[in-house]
Amino acid sequence: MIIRNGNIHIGNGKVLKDYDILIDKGIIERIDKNIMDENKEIIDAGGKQVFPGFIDPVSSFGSMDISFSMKDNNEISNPITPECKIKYSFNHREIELEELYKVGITTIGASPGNSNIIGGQMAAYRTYGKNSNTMLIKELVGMKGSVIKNVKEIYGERKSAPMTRMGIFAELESFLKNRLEFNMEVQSIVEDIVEGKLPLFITANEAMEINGLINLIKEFNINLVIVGGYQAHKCLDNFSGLNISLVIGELIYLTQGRYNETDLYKIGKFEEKGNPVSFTLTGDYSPSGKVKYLWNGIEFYKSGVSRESLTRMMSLNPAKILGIDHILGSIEEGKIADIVIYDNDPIETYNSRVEYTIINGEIVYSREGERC
Amino acid sequence: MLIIKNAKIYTMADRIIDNGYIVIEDGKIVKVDDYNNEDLSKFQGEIIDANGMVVLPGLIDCHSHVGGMNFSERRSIDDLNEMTNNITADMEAIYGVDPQSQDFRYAYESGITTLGITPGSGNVICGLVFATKTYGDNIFDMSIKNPVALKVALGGNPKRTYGDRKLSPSSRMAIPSIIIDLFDKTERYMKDKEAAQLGRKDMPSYDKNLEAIIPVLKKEMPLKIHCTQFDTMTAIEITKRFDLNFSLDHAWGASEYMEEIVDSGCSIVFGPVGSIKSFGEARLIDIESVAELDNRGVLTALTTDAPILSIDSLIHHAGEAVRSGLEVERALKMITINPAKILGLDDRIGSIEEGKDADILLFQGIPAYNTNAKLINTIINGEVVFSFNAI
Repeated sequence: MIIRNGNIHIGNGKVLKDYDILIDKGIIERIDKNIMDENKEIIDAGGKQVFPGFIDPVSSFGSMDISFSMKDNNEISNPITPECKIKYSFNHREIELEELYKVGITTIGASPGNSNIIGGQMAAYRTYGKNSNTMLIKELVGMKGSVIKNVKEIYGERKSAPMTRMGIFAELESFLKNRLEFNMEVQSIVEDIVEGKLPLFITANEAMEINGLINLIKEFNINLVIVGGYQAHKCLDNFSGLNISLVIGELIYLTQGRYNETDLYKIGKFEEKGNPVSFTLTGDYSPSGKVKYLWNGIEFYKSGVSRESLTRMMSLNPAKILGIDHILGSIEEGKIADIVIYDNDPIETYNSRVEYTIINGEIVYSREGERC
Repeated sequence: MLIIKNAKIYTMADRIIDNGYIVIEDGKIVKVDDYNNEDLSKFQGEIIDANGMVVLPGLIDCHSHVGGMNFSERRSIDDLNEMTNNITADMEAIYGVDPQSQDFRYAYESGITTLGITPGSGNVICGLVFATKTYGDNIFDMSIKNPVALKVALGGNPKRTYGDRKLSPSSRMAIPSIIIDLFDKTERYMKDKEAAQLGRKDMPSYDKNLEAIIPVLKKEMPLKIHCTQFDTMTAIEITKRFDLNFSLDHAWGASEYMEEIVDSGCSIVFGPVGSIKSFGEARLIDIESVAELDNRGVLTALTTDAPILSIDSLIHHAGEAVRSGLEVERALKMITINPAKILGLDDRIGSIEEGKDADILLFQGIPAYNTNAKLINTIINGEVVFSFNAI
């Protein structure tokens, strides 16, 4: 397949004007001007905007079991469940229902929810495919936990620990230090976490929760991903010298961004200094519908964050956060061909629509209604 | 007197003035016209030069819970769901609304100048809706009209509230008869009152609940029906039986009931969009239906259901309608003149016309088209209540 004459947003913020992309066997083979190959299917992207498939790094899609009241992404029998793996809850039919690829989201970091201090192991999935096996990109891309009120709501209500933030942080510290409580597999995972080899994703919204986390992880070499982070703008100065990424939670549902006065401009400036910042459709309790993905991006853009920064936040940064940037997250030779083509730039105008979504080099959605 | 000149004016009254001026006096629009130096010189007052800017009437969300609900971390309130009886027709939303809520500020700082504030959907008959400006200290001074509609809820919300307590309704089957029996009772009450006035009967004892329903049955006030997917047919059947004016609010799945909606003569308040899809009520969230509804002559507005979704996402909603293929001007009507009509207040708000309230916005860029269109000023009742430079 050749995507011809597109404005190619590489993913790192740079744009190549009127370049072709040659895709072979699901891989981006070449990016160049005027690639000639008569045997290839041609997609004319003249005047159109070509992006790497968008990545939502922390998502509950696929694992909520939406028809049942008990959710499959929260094992609420114990606040520390590092042995739990999201892959056992991932229902490809459920994520298919939302059709995330129709706004251009091609990869998610499937993730346990926010009810446990340590909820379990994340995995990266494609948003389209035959089954949960073929959609799996990588197992164990991170360990997911939470220090927000959801934990207290579940356990405190039962009069069991943790009932307070003190309890939450005490148990989180124990998890990092008392490794021997766990089986061998989990012990080695915790070792990877404290050595910074495996990222630790923790949902923390309020400044006091974020600063608490920073204080707790200081003594380790942890690669911390703060999720939610509605008041992260108040804590950015405390991040220096630490390995911290940010995944800002969904801003519009329940007016979260406004109530927290989330300073998106300041967070954008932090990104522009080279820090991995991204955003997600998922809020405290559940994800929002796909249209809000662009709305959240637009909220950053409206606050004055640069257009280049936005592209990074939607592609390369989340790939880095999930540790899959060697295969995804940008349009570069050798990477997997996950590509979305818009008629106009969706961050600049509402008058924009996905023309094609390509996953693994296959067209999975086209505006003409052809699904291959 | 306040004069806005050199403006591109989207009047929302079927006219875009490329270079026009607006004269405001005593909170009202007294003159709107194409630029003409001679005419303009007749007016003396403070001048806003809107050179390069787009001017719109204040935005309206006619289905909102602002000031009466808040689901934030520190201040969780719900004063708009009196879930102690499935029928609470006489509950007035205005008494549940705190004008000090920060959501009002978010509203006028984002260009929303009027809200239709409605009780929640926890009951079958929820209560009375009122319309209010978004700027002020006292909700009774801010209010434009109370009531403007009676809110009714179909489907999952009342079912969940009462079904969880093993009370009626615990299924959709029970909901219609609750409404029908109540309206029948109101009709008898009205007849008894008429008979009493003619001296044929004793006056029935005053029933505040039924009194609230009388204007609906007389078609003086619409029903505002919380409704999605296949509940649409329930709504249409009940309103037809009593020959009522009504709007279908939320209206997810409208595209599958297009013919029935058009035939019913109702208006549509569509939204919010951006919920996850699931089975049942959220199976189909079809923003693309608003273009077709508009084409078919159905009066259609958009809603954020704020604060369920942030009030400022009203512009995202109009933008999403544009993405689905609707022309920008028609999408903007769905957040200005159309909701004004649904509230029955289009004689006062919703467009820039002489004699109307001076609720006016100045933008750099076109909202619902340019994602970063910037609100420069919000004017409510002729008063500048927000200026971009001031923050």
